[in-house]
Amino acid sequence: MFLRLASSSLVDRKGSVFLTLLAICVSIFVLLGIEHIRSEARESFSSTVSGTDLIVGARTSNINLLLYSVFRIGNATNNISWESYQEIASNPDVAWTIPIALGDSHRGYRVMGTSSDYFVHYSYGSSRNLTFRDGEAFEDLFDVVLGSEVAQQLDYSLGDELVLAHGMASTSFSNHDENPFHVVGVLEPTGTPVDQTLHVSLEAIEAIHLGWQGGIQMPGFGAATGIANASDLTPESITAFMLGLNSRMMTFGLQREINEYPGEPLMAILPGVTLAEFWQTLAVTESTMRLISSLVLVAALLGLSALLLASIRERQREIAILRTLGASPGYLFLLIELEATLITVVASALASILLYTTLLLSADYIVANFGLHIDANFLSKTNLILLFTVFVSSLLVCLIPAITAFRKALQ
Amino acid sequence: MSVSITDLEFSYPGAEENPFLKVPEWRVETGEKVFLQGPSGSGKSTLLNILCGMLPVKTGEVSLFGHPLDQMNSRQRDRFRAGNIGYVFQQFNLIPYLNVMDNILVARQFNRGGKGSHSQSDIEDFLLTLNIGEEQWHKPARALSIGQQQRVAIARAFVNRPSLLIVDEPTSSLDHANRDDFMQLLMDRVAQTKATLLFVSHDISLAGHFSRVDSIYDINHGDVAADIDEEAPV
Repeated sequence: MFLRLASSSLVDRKGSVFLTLLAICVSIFVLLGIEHIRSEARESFSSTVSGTDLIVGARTSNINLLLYSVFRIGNATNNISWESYQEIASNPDVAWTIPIALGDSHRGYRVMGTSSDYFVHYSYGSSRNLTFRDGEAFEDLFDVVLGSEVAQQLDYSLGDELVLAHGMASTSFSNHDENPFHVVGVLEPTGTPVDQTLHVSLEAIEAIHLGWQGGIQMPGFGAATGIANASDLTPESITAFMLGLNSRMMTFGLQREINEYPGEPLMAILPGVTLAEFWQTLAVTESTMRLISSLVLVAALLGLSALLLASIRERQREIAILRTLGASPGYLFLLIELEATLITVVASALASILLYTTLLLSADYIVANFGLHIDANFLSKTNLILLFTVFVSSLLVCLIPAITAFRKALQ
Repeated sequence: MSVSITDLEFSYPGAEENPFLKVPEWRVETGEKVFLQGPSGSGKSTLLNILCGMLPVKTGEVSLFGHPLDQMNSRQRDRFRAGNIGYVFQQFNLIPYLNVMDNILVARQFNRGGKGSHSQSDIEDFLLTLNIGEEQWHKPARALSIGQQQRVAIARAFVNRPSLLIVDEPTSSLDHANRDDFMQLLMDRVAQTKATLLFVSHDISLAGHFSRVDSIYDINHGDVAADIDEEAPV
């Protein structure tokens, strides 16, 4: 009966209650959404690369090098010459290297030129290696291995032909039409940018750019002609490379060596350390977002408190009736708190459904535009704690109207 | 003895020097039907609020059925009221957004120390005898006429089998037909349950229904003899 009394009272004031509920619902949606996307982004970024000791690229900022080489965000400021790469790769402390050549795309997805070592040494998450869902690594010049997302979204399977585009535009007028690629492998999903990448050999990248200058194919210089005339498809330069060491003890020594490399301005970064720097850079933004969403929530809860406080003035007769029937002041105190609880619980439930649906529906958009896999299940420990905090905060904020009701009852 | 008041003095906060109510002695026997009259502002409502435990007693002794209200704390008085006292107001008796049945059931939940409440089927039977048909039970109280609301208020007042029924100006907003109907239903129920009745009204024509008529003016100044047992003037 206690619950029915509180719920009937709220239904009776459905207009103002609905608006308050909506305000709390939106604020909880924002609060949980920001927290979930933040933690998912961290998780996604942190699990993208593991087992790589150093990433080497042209001198730029640490974070820029990490972003373009691993996360395919942004662009390199310069390339590394093939000779420099070879010299560093031949260092006796270096166990393996993965060269990376970026710059082309296919229908908005990035193309990465690399070597077959990529499929052997690249690892993500808890040192998990790449595995093939279908097919195998590239062997022939115009073979391509697709990330799972690319294959799924563009509906490619083994044996299909596709053409790469010059540059990064999703709709490009500079296509490498003369050299179509054949899909020879599709990788298992990794939840990393690998899923949104097309992998080809470095030689293939070199081959499709024969006769191209400044992003334009020179007239009369077909790719087939170019390949026929080219005796060597060894690249002149690459964008960056990852390397693994025989002993991690050598990491800082080699990093210093690369940073002081005399041949050209290079830099080497430790992925973990740079990622930590990246989070530190984002910390202010994260804190600001949290603060704003918290303030929005506080405003909504104060609105709830004001709504209940105003209702007490309208409900003096009702309070008198309940008191005459035997309701104690404590009962009326709890009645107001129960009304606050009902509004908060319904708002939380609505916000949760709304957030889940939004994440589910926007998953493809987020992957396509930000390369992030955001799980629709947002009920992490942190978010459950946040929901509990919202619940307790609503009870605390509504102490004001509850105490007012208590005092009215005593009068 | 249903009601026993001795040397009661009551004053509202800020006016302690000049007691609003001063009752040397006033008693009502169990089963008596007392008609209480007096001008507005003479202390009728204050006396009723003291008797139902809404206002605390600081000076004097007030006991109902041998239970000293003056020695109970607020929580004990609330429980005692829920279990032993039924109350019908002048108007706005019901919680407007609750339906008829919930308005009655809401009173039942507070009864933890009384004689035990009526069951749902008892309530339904009683509502039918009050001419509140089944089609009305799930309507919100605000959808009922004033006459229907007053009859539902009677049902609610009796739900916890009260020993004392306090009725405060219940007919002032009713027309003659509804007033007579209301009085008939009320007195029948009081007779059935043998509850003690304190009935406040300005309408002296109703006094014929009662075994005793008291004036608040006399009670307040102590002019009413204890154990009065006279027939009400008609």
